[in-house]
Amino acid sequence: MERELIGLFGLLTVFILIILRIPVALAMLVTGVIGSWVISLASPFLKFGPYLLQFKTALWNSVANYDLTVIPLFILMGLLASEGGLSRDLFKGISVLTRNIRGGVAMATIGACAGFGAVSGSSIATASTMSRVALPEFKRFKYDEGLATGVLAAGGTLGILIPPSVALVIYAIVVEGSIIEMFQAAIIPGLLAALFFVAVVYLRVRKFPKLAPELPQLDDAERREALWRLIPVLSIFGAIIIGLGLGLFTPTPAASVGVALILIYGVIIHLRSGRNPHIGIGVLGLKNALLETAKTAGMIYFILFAADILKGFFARSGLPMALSEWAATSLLEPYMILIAMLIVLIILGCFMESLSMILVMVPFFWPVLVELNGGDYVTASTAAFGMDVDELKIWFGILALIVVELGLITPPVGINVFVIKSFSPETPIIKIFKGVMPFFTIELLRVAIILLVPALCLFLPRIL
Amino acid sequence: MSAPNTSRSHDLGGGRGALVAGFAKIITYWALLGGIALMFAVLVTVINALGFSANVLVRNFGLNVSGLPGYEDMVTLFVGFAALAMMPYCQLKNGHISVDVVMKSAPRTMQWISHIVSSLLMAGVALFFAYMLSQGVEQARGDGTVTAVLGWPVWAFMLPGVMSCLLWFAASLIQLGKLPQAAEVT
Repeated sequence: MERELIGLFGLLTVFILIILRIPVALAMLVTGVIGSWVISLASPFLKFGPYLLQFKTALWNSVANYDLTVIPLFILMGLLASEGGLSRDLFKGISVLTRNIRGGVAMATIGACAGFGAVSGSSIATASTMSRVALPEFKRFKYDEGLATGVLAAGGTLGILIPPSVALVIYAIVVEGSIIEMFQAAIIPGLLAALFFVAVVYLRVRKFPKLAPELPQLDDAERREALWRLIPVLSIFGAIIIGLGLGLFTPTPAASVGVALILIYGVIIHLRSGRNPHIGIGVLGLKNALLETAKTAGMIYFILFAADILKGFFARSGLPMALSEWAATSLLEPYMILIAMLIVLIILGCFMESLSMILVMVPFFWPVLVELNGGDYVTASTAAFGMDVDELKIWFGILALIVVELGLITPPVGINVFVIKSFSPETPIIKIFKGVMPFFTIELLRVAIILLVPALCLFLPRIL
Repeated sequence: MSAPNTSRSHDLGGGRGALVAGFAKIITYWALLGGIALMFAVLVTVINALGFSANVLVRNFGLNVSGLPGYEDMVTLFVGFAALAMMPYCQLKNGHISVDVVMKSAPRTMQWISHIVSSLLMAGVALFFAYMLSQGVEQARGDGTVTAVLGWPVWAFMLPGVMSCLLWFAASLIQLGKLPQAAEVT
């Protein structure tokens, strides 16, 4: 029991350090290393010297890993898409298509968030990029501030689930699942979210028409230009998503081809504009994208490495095993425990960043779920959740990511809300949270639907 | 929750300021070198993908176009180098995720203590990594560790990682004098 207690104390220490604003990765790493040392004192057979020797190659092995190469590539792809103005073209093109519908700009924003989220793979990047593009339009057409900022904050969350998403890749790595299957599983729930968000906009605007004034008609030349520029964007985004969804590409080639296509397109646009630094991708744009990639990828690689060290400490403490043994012998209803886990993730999401939550909590929750389901080798017919371990991995991953994404718009932190606030400083934060609430409610409904109908996640991985 | 990218810094003396600016420049160029390695990985992967696609098209005519042999080795090594080269820049720009919920309303002294502790810890960790990785380089060289397909020596790609860790250490020290702005979110 002593080792398990050390593990529990370690978990508590991670949270305390995080609250004290120690960077999450550092908190995980320091706790992992010191915790392993303390365990070696309590259990002399778990020697600390040999443990330390792993650091000779551990950092290199962690970064020189083919499965992880997809992470900086997807980040770079998203940043190049942003630098190249693809997000703006996407938004403007969809805006033309939805112009005659009341609330069309808001709907176009959701569509563009879903499309851009697919290539950026990050909710925060999606929220900030789309804010830059859509907020001026919302202001120009005198949309209600609460609706506009709420749509942007909620639309930004689509980035975490619509494949290819960095969060999906990281979850798959944590549970040793298939990245491609996670991508396939996320397609229907991701589209469902976009549809639900559009429905929320439609219903709200129908009830309160003042929220979204009617728009003047565009002239033909403007309409043609916007639709024309939508074609390359949809072709590039479509090729990546369809290629991944159908299993034509594995993630790393898909990301590389995406980077190459977006770069070529951006450079052509830039050259055609007479090297206008604000259009397409020039040398400066590429440099900015590479440096931003360095910042984000550096953060993700370090946090993944630290999470691995922390996971090693927890494994040495035996805490996850003790929890799964408890789950196997407890008489609690598996679905109740699953729902409790999701609630914990929502609550933690109010204070913690999504990636950290996946890395800290999933290694604890996952073994418990496996035991509750009936163990590693259970078949679908005898499993508590009616599915084998591989499908459970997928279903739980999608549910966990949706609730983690909910944390991005949940008070008091809701990082997406603060991102939007930084772009619209005159809008009171309360107004943004109020604008987000209808989307939050519909998200809870989506979680309930996916809980009740796991086939929404499992259908595509089964047939593809 | 924040990853602030701007900082409120103390005035630095002329000599120290120039040193910090010099290191910041080196760290930025080092990260760009990592970015170039990443672009090289993109190029290699695209060539390989084109090779495979061309093969699908021409194999019906009895022809054969191969992919790039050992491309996975190349991508892994180049991205491995790139990832480590990016760490110091991430540190320099305060890119690591931290949670601001409590500390943003804490007294300023408390914020400084937390910041100095975390910067020193990070510097210590980076230095530890530099030392351990240099030992790892020696070990990989001694063992003659090579990649699976191309047979390239792994230590040659690990070695720049030691430089990355040393620059990471420098970036942590540069951060010591700068307090991240609590309310800023990127």
